[in-house]
Amino acid sequence: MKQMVIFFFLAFCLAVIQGCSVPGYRSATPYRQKYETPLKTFHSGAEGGWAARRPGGAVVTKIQEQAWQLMEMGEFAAASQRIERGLRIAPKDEFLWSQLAQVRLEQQDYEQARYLAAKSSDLAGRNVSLISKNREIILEADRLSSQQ
Amino acid sequence: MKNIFLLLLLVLSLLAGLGTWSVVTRLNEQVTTRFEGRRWELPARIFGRPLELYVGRELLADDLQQELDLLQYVSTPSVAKPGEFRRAGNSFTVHSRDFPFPEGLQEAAIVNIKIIDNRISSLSDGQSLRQLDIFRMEPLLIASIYPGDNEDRLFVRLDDVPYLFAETLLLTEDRKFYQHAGIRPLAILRALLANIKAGRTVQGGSTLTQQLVKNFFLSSEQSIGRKLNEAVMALLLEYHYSKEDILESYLNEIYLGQDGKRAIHGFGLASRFYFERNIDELSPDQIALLVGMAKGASFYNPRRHPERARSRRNIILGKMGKAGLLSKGEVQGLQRRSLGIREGVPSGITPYPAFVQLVRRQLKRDYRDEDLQSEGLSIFTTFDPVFQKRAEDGLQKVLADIELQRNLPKGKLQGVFVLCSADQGEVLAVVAGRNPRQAGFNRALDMRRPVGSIIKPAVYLTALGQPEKYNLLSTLYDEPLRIPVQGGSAWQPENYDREFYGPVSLLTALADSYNVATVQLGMELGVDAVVKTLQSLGVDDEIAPYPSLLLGAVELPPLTVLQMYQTIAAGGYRTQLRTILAVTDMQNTLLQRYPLLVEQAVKPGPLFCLSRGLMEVCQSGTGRNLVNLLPLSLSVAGKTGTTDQLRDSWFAGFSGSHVAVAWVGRDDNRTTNLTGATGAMLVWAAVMSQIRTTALELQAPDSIEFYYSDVAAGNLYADYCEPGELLPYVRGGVLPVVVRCGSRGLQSERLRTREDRYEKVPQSTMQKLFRIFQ
Repeated sequence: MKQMVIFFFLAFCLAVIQGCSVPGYRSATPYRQKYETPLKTFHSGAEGGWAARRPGGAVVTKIQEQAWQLMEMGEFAAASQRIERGLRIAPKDEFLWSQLAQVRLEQQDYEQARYLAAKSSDLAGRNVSLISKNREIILEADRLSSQQ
Repeated sequence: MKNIFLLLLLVLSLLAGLGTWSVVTRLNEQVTTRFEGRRWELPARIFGRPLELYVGRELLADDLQQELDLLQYVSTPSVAKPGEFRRAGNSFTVHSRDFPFPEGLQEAAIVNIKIIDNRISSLSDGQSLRQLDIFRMEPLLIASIYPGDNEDRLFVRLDDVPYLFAETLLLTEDRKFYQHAGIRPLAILRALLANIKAGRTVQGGSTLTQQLVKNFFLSSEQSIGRKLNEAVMALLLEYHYSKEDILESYLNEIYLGQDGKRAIHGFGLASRFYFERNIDELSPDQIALLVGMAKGASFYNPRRHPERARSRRNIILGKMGKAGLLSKGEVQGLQRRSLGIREGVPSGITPYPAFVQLVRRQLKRDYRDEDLQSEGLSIFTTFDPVFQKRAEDGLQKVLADIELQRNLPKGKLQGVFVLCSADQGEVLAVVAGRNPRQAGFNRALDMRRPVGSIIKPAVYLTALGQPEKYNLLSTLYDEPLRIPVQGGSAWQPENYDREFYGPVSLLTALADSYNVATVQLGMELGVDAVVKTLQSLGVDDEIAPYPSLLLGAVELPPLTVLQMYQTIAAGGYRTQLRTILAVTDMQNTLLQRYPLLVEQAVKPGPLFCLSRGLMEVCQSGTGRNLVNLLPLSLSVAGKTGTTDQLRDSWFAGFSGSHVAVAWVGRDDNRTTNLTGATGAMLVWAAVMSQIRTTALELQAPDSIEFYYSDVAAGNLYADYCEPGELLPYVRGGVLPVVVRCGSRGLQSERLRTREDRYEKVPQSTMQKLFRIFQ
């Protein structure tokens, strides 16, 4: 019994530490780390893997990369344009929809950010990581819009 | 006396000086005002979508060839200039043209494209052979919006004009252009003497600057006064502006032909009008022909007077040879060439009037007509010329086939087909009739016809939006129904085959389009609630909440129906249908972007269940013939619609990436004898099977869970069971009774009732036939 209590106490402490280590939404973390989902990280190139299987193939991954770069430079309109170009190639790509939600959030279009994040989640299937990321976007959009 | 005479002379000189000064000042103001401001009213140009090329893209080699043909690329073995390409089997080498996209200029490039198994397998730079991620062709110009004076021109900068062109022009029109100050008195005198000697005009003494002044500021009147004004203005022009500026203006101002009401101005447009090439793509003989036309565009019109034009061209080629611009051998070779004028050059009238009309309506929200006609705007749209061609061909062919097979009067049937992307709501094609080139009444936008059963998804969605009460297995009663009508006799809705089907599942009622069950459901929900659903789906039109609305007794244009189904196809995320993506000005500065905006109009769970129902329509319901009409792998969802006395035949549906609506009917509103499935659905299938689209694979949102369901019995099974199929249910909503596998009929009240009251009723042969054809 005593061992069980110690075990649960340690587990609780680890959970608290883990929780505290998650960076804040608007921390100084670069976009890529701040937003990109850790479960499926895309890499262009010919090594196969997810990028090759992804609808639209490596080109969508490339477009997404370019959009990240534009976002890092603060070029949100250009990033949005790039993502929309990607969506014409892969209209059901849940990651592109999520990325567009992030762009709208940065452009302070909170309503659009919410809708786009919700759409991304509807397309995400069992990708809990992306769904959770989208939930973050929606919460952030709610928080920021309530401050206006 | 002498003093008085001198004084008078002085006064007269002063007055003359003052008069001259005042005239010169006025002319100076005229010259500078026009030159400092906007020199021309430039038409707005409307472009379609650019074709994106990337490895893995599904693309038929013939489709790429079609795109290149539309863009007026010329097939040559060398591929030396922009606008040329070479095809060897399924491999292409394309020299693209410069194009100012809203994101910036895309420079001309040579690209190698290899297509294997109808997909791009390799895309590389033609010079470095480096693999390219993505490349886009320049978009097709689909229409121009002309100024009130109908002057059309394609502005070219002097830097973009080839050296050979400018040299030939100066050689022919004004050899001393860079030496004179606007006029050449000796040349005028020489011309005057030559003309007097010949008794007619055989020589001109005007400089290029004077010609520009004449075209720009003055009339063609032949008088001393006008000639004097011309000379003064030419001097002023040369005083204020550089030679390059004047030459560039001349290149863009000169009149070079007529296309109906449209006047062709400038060499930039003329090279496209006569040769379908950009000015930097012209060969020396083509340059010679255009330069030769400067002397008289009508007189030397190569389409109307080819011999005259040829002789003039050869004179210019001879001059080019003498000036050392071409070798003697080249001149002889070029003089033997035919004129090379392209026949069937796209007229100034758009070949796509229905789509352009939609663009103009959307433009009107943000731009004044004057701006569209004069500011040289570039409007980038979503129009897909390849899809449009497929849609036009599909509609024409199916309507002709139907008329032939059914012995209908030839040419009486009309049709509409509208297509957009499912998730972005980008309108890709609009066919407003059998003659798509004919402008006029736009059926796709302005025709209002009863929509029949294609409205039913709104009724079923209203129900599924109440998951605590309804699901796909909910029992509806397809039984005789009387709905009291205020001040009139009661309305008794009937099914198409005049039969009643008793208790049926909601899914079956939707798939088989049972009218009575739908009305029963709609009345239970309330007509107002259905109207609200329609509004959520994007139907902005005012709709009177009468019960007959439940069966589609409401008149809507096809484009509104497309909007309604776009919301469904996009999982409940409505996007206002859009045609315009961006607008840039003459300097290619982005004026406006029309970003993708979505709105969550309907909850995704109920919408998912509805979409599953609409798939059932196309698999076993009224649209089941689609299985035979579409490629096996292309699963779709949709709904048929037929109106009273078979006047209108509708089909609206979607694949994984596209939504389309087809309508077939007659302009005189007489019966067509076609149902939704035997008319519009055939058009829909003919087009959808010919375009690159993807199969519909519904992605269940988080709020959905699946159970093995028995549609006929209205039961769920706890686990896999033979007659069961997996159907979606909204999490937390009401569920049908769960039974053990094998105890189906025993526990189903619905089956018992059906057996007792309906399935024993014999059907007449005619009724059975009706049902088959429905």
